[in-house]
Amino acid sequence: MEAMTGNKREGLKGFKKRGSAESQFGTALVLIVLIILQTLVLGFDYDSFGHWFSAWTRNWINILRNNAGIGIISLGMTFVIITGGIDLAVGSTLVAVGAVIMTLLDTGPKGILGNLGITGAPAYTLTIILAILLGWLIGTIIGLLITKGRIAPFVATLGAMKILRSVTQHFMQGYNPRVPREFLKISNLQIGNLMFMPIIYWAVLAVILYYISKRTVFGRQVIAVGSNERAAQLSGVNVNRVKTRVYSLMGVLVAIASIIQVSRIGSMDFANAGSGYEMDAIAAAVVGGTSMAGGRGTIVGTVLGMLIIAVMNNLLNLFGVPPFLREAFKGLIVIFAVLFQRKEKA
Amino acid sequence: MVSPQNTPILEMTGITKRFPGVLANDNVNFTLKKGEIHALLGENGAGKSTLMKILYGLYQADSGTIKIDGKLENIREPNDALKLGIGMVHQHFMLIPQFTVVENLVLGSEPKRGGLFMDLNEATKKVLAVSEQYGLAIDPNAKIMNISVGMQQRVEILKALMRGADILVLDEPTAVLTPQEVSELFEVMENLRSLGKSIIFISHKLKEVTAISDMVTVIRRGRTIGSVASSETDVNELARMMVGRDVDLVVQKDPAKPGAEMFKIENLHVPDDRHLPAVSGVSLSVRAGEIVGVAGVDGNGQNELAEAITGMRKATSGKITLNGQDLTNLSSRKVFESKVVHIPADRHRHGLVSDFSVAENVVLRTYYKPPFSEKSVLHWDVIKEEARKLIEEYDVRTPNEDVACSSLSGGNQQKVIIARELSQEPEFIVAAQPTRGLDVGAIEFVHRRLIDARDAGKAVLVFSLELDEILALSDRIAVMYEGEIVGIIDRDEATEEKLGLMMAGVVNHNQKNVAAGGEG
Ligand SMILES: Nc1ncnc2c1ncn2[C@@H]1O[C@H](COP(=O)(O)OP(=O)(O)OP(=O)(O)O)[C@@H](O)[C@H]1O
Ligand SMILES: [Mg+2]
Repeated sequence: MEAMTGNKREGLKGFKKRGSAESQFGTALVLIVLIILQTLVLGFDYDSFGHWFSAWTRNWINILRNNAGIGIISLGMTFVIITGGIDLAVGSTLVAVGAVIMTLLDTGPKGILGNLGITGAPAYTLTIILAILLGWLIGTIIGLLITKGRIAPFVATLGAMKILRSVTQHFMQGYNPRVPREFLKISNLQIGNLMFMPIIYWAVLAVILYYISKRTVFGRQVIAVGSNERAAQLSGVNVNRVKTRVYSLMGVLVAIASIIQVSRIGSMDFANAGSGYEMDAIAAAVVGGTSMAGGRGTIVGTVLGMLIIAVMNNLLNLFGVPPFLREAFKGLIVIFAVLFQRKEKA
Repeated sequence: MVSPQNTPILEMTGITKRFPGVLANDNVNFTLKKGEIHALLGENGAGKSTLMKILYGLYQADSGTIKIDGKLENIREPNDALKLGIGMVHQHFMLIPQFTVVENLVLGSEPKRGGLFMDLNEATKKVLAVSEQYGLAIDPNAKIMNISVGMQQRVEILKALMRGADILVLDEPTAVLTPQEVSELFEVMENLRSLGKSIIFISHKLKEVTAISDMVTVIRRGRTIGSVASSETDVNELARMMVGRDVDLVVQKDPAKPGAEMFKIENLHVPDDRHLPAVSGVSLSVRAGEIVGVAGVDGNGQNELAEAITGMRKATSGKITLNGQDLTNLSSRKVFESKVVHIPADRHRHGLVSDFSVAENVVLRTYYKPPFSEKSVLHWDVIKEEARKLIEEYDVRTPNEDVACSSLSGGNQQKVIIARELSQEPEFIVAAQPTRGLDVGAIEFVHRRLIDARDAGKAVLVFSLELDEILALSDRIAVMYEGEIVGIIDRDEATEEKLGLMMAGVVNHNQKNVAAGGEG
């Protein structure tokens, strides 16, 4: 009898451990299935392996490069959502920062740095610094509105989203700045004959943010605030400062995404660029297991979530699903991911 | 050793606090000496928690002064209290469930490496040092969600100590503990006292109060009634001071006159939230005019069993019947309409909508029916009338029926649930921890009502972690262990020792067979 119950206990413990690892595992599994499907669709064939492999690689680099911007934003969104917040202003912040970058670098008569006589590498460095500072500033203001102003994150960032896009469009009306070709190297530098700079930025940032979330005091406090704000407050965590910093970080990441975006094609459609990014970033985080209620979420999960959405898009493309229908699949995958995770948690 | 006498480490004088419609503290005086365990005693709603929240800076007193070590202090928020060496263990623990013990203990004051990174080694070292210093053993790397309630409480106490607490406030710490955990807590408290810490201890269990405390201060309806040394008083006198009249600590009752078998469970299997078996093959019956008590250490499937009976949780197999009618896996409204009422163990999750008013909570189960509503229109005058009637009958201490339940004291929230459920003229009552958090007067009242229901020929099933309560109420006692009923014995055969052994899983097979035979 004693021995039997002993075994039962052991069994319970084992189950719990597996259960917690499983949620990440499930996400990874879905991704692997999608990748296998994709591989098959690309016509995997032993006889012409070399040919197949180069097509496969090219396809992958395309996928990753196209999603690097949103991928980077979704990393920050994960932090925001873990604190129980949301940031709808990321797309508009992206165009606002983009507009400033282009105005600074414009090779035409109105270019700010050009008129100041700053060109070449110093100009690019300065632009990058200013862009990141601007992103940080926008994020910090949003954070302060939420914490000191006690405005709900949804409302504060909805307001910021409207203001930033409208102001940007107004000032950039009829103005077409031209970005120096050299600046485009930031995203288009070729290594071998492959262009994967944006992927490297995304990967590096993912690793950094992973370490921030796991190892730093800030990262731990982000989770504490999201899990039980009152408990964190009573423990002496400066809840407002943690929250504000999360939005500042979001702003910095958006600025980096904006630099990548501008340097990829050298232009930006201020009316449409970045619109819908907030939803895609949220979708990636949610598919990756981040809870909209806060307190739960991981960087690894979000990267996997982003990849799932990206690979699925690619598959739909390869299958020839009409573009208007593709968004529906994105919606489905988000809903299924949450249903699945709810079941697993229960 | 520090001389414990004569040095008041804390003096609260003339504390008055008014909430809309209630004078929660009316000129309260409270003095705590260094190295003393001081119990705070009083009825539900007497103002104990309010006084402690004022001390901890969660509320501001309207008037009155607080002196720490003889110095006048102004405590505006918990951080001020922490700086003055006041720590509080909240009734609802303030821990982050997915963090480890260490991570919780250093949260907000984490040791850093390179100004940025959390130094987990240093943190663990610090935690272990403090845990050793105070003799509070913990597993530093266990996640909070995987440790017992007693352990979580220990972590809360350590947390206060690590922040330099000299005065510890424990608000009803034993309400959530098993008897074993209570005695461990008392050892910890005694150890802390010997190290010069001062402890304020709130409890409704008079035996505990006389066992552990040096001094007792009694508050009634917001006023200090007096302070006595524990050695110079007894349980009955304390009860009288609290309630203002003599209280029957064990309600008198006649032997049961059980009738036909009314409620029956056959071979029931119920999973828990993780889909693991929580109840494994339970069979049990309750006869009309009988109270059956279910005893057991917390977490042996009692909650799941109670929830399955009342339609809040699905059973995977087995059968539940009341008067021959099948109740298995019906919705909780259907079960309720079969005249089964339920006092749930977790009042915050299943019992009350805290943001609703007392009146709204009173009709939570019946609002959709006449006389409370007709054609989907609510009749507020009828609802409020009903609420006023129950407030009066069940002595719920509230300014009126319109205040939100969240502003009631813990015990009075429990009374609202009991009033709602018992006023439904049920055939079968399922009561889980019915008197958790209630004062002695209220316990007497609730026990009386359950026994009256029994004597009126109803069937009653009581789940309780308190052996005293099981022994006071039950006519038969079933003991649960690891999801099974390991024995059913008559009240006359039951002793604390015998039940204790059964609860620990040392099964009395004979007994089980006899019981099973009798059942089948
Ligand atoms: N935040 C609040 N708003 C309004 N009234 C309140 C609030 N907190 C407490 N009260 C009222 O103050 C009175 C004292 O409540 P308190 O919680 O101090 O009682 P208590 O002695 O701790 O009771 P219990 O033993 O039931 O926990 C009660 O009548 C309660 O309704
Ligand atoms: Mg209280």
